[in-house]
Amino acid sequence: MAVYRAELGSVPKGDGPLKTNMEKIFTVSEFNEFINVYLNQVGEVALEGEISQINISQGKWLFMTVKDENSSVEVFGVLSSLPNYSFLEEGMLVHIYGVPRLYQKTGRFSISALQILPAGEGSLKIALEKLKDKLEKEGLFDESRKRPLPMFPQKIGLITAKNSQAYHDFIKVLKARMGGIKIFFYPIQVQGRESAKSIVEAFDFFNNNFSDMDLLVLCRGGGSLEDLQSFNTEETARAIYASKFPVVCGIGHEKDISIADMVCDLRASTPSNAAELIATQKDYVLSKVSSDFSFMYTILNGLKNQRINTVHKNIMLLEKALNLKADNIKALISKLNFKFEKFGLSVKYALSKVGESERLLQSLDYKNVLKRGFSITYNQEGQIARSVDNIKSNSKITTSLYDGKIISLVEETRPSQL
Amino acid sequence: MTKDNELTLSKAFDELEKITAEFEGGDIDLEKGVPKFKRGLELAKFLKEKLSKIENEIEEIKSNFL
Repeated sequence: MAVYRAELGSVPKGDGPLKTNMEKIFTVSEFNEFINVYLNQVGEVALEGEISQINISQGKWLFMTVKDENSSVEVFGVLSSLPNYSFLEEGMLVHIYGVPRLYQKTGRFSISALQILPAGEGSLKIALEKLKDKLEKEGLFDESRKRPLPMFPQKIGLITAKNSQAYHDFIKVLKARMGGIKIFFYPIQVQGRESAKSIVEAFDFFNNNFSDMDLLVLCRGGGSLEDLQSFNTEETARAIYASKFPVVCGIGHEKDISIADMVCDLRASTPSNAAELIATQKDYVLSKVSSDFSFMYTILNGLKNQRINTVHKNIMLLEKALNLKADNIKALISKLNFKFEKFGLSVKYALSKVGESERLLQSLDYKNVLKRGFSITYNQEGQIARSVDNIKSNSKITTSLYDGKIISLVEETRPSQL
Repeated sequence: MTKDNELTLSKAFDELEKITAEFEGGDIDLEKGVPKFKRGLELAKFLKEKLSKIENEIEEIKSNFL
């Protein structure tokens, strides 16, 4: 059995062959560790292969064998760092990104997978369908969770590739429709291995650094299913789903709808269409404002005319009422006149009665009686002498006649002989 | 009614729509209608001013991927 000796602890440098110290005899553990140190220098590799066997252990680890026509290799992975593992199945062509390593305990060689992506149209479709099913069951595509977009977004987060057609189309169409919008542009990689990661970082950035973003737009131009792979990953789907701001996707493909399209709040067919959907045409708003005003003016004018008509009507009614009153007053006056006339007559009658009474009273005046030859005699005390008993002999009496008085001395009084 | 210093395009447009709807509802008289019309004019002025802006401002964020 060959004894393989090497110096431990020194990390091999450069492209030269591994230097070993033949004096040193490795233990198995040391050997495995030594090989791992060497393998670490290889760094990350990418390989394509078909899954020939797959095994999930304790819900934590993935053990897989991938092969091509001539060879096979073991693949190991930690499930928590492989979010897309659920789409994997035997027979599927995959791209594995990982580092070669030797399992310390058994010396078994494997690729420690950092990322596994479906490769080829067939695998991509299978993976896509599987992921769609899973996310749909979780409710990520529910219509009820789609949030409405503000009519006038003022702050937009744009997530797309720098200097891309998608970027230019979006900016151009948005400007044509509405001005005064603040756009925060987060450049991402829209395809390739780092793409999904960059999308997730963009969403994290906006959600962690802003509180008042009106919406986020994720867009890119068209491409093959493979090109658009990062828009069909679980990480992207979850980043869109978790966003506190509404998300609009404008991914330039018509044929297949990506998972990002299904999770987002509003799907646009292209980046230009995204700009059309989020920005209300300012001309529309201005014409709406103008038509609202002409409508309100018409209503107000109608109300004003109605009011004028009412006032006219009321004036006419008042006039009519006043005319009626005037008629009534006239009638009243004539009625009063009639009454007055009647009163006048009665007054006349009363006055004539008064004349009669006057004449009667006049006839009753004692002076008139005196005129007729009667007289009044007063005794010395000035009292009217109604009886001879009121007069004493040798007293002075006064006789009042119509035109004067007679003062006499009484010789004798004699009562009438009855 | 929104205070003008907090007015946004959305608020102004919504308020104007609300006022128009009140007119459409027919449940409006001259006394209420005239002040509402005046308010509508203020809102329209605000909207026109805001919408007259032509440019959008773009700020690029330094991402880890470029």
